[in-house]
Amino acid sequence: MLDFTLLMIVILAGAGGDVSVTRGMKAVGEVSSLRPSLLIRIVGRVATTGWIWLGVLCKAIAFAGLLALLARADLSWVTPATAVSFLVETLAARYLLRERISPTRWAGACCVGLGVALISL
Amino acid sequence: MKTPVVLSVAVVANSVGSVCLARGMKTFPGLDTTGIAWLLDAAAQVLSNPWIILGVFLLVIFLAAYMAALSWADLSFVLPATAPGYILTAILARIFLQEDISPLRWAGTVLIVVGTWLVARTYSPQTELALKGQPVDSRGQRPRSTQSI
Repeated sequence: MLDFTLLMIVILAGAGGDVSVTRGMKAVGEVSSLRPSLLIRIVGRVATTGWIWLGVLCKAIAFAGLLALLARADLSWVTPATAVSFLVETLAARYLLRERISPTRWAGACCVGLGVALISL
Repeated sequence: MKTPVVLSVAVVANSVGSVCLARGMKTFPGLDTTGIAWLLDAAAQVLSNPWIILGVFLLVIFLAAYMAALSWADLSFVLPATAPGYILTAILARIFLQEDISPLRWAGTVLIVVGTWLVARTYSPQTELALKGQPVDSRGQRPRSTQSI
């Protein structure tokens, strides 16, 4: 039961974090160069974007949950089990970020979810 | 060119980092104290474990590559595109952590890879998210309908 609760925390906080970070990175703009002067400017923009900080907070919560889960379960179960977050995050991308998601992409996400179910058995 | 490179860095860093992290957490000896002393003791052990430090460092690299990819690509694309790491993680866990992986687990892993391959096929460099959150096409026009399913 505790494992399941921890898993839920990891998935939901992870999804929230990814959505926020995506929102933030789109606002920062495309990272197209590794030139140090440009990178510093980009890091500066990232550090001052609220969405990124919200995402970092959510990810920190997910990370804490993940560490707790790793101390209790096999990595080769934990990592794929958290992959069900693909479905959750694809849904979030569709409805919160308004991304266009083709049937192929949905099929792919469902495949991943199915694979996760198999792995958790 | 940059998309495959950045995503490959992300995948490898994620898998190796995860295995290091798991290795570090497993070598976590039992603690004799209770309460707040246990928490401080646990934190000290976690933070001084070289496997955990290496794992965290690699996961930070993964994060940087991942965020860079998100600055130009859809979340619904980047996410599954980083999933080939699951196979890599399973293999590394088998080798370095001596974890047993049943045939059912391998089947599930294969399914996950098929799914991510499907998603990878849907990559469209022209799907852009304008700042207001509405998708635009390559001419910068907003389509009248944003329904995609």
